[in-house]
Amino acid sequence: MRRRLTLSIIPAVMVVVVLTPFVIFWSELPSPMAIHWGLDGGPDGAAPPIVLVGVLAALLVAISVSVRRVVAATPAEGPSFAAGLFAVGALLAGVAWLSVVANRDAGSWEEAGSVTWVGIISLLLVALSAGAIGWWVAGGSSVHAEHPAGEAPSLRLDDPLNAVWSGRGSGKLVTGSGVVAVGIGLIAWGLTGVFLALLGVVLLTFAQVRVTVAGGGVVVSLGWWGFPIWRVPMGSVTNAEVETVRPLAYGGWGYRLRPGVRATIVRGGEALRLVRADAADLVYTVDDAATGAGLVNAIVGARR
Amino acid sequence: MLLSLDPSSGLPLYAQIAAAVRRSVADGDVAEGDRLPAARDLARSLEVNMHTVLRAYSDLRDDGVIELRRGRGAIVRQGSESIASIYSLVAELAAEAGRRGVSADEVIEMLKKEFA
Repeated sequence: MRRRLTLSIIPAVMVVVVLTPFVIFWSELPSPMAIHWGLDGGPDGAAPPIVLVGVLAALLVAISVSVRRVVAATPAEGPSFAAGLFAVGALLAGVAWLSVVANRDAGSWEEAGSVTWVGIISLLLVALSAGAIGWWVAGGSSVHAEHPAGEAPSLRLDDPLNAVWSGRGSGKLVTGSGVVAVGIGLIAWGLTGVFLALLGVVLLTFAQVRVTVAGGGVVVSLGWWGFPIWRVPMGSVTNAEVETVRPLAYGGWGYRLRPGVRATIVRGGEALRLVRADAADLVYTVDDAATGAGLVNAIVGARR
Repeated sequence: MLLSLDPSSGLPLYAQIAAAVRRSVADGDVAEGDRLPAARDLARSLEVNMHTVLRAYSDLRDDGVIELRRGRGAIVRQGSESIASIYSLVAELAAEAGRRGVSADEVIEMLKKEFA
């Protein structure tokens, strides 16, 4: 039932709420209407109302499609997803209502009313409240992400405490996005360029993950340059499993926090899961995870 | 890539690391073009100094087993499998000669005759 609700009813409600102001006040809108406001609150950009309706409709379609994909990937996906969906819906609805009300009864777009900081902040507050409602409706934090028991291989080694395994995983999608962001960032001017370049560096950090397993612990490092680097003591690991990661099920790529698990996702597919009794599990998307998990399990066995 | 160290060999740690890589290459567990673990990652997981690992890697480079490239790490070279397997046989021969009290010069003479 919740699935059905998420898939059809919520996007339908979003469409109605977002498009209603246009339907009611269509005859009172100037064409073109103001669609963008400067820092002083006055209108500084305009487009025909039909364009704004088109853009909003396209966003709604994109959201509905991604909803379907995410729900298909993770049937149990719960509160955080509903919260995001409600918040985006409220944001779009707020933009639609603010724009229409400001343009109402204006002779031309230059005469449209101001959009003040108060309006923008209320918009964000409404979006946050809608997010909270979505979280609450979907069951709040009582929902746990149960992961299916993965494959837990073990290696037969004479001396596992003196063996070393190293594996890495890299993702084309994240690498490509990072290269594009850095590239545009370097040719773009001003703050936008700096922001894009920084974003690109963050993306490239998550383009590759390396995991090295030895008797003392598991060392994980990110990026081609191997920084940041951290070590998971073997004493905190109870066992290791192989898992097939679908990035959408973790809410995307990068460093993902889910109830009971912290995942570093650079691509979809094979991943190594370190199961820990007293802390969150750790998931790293590396190739040949079976050998890595096997060595971790052999080491854990030998230490007992 | 899976490497096994052999602490019972009595070799210093850097030599154990180099020997483990040679053995894996000779056995075909590590293929040409494969990348060895990054020195810093390996050092931290073995709880040794990074220079110990770098010394092992530079020995392997001098023997023609790997290529060290800035930014790309340590890559197993083309043709390194034969070099590594000969090296392993030589190491075995040297150990056997030592056990039986045959000196290095005598072994070298024997090898020279074999190639003549």
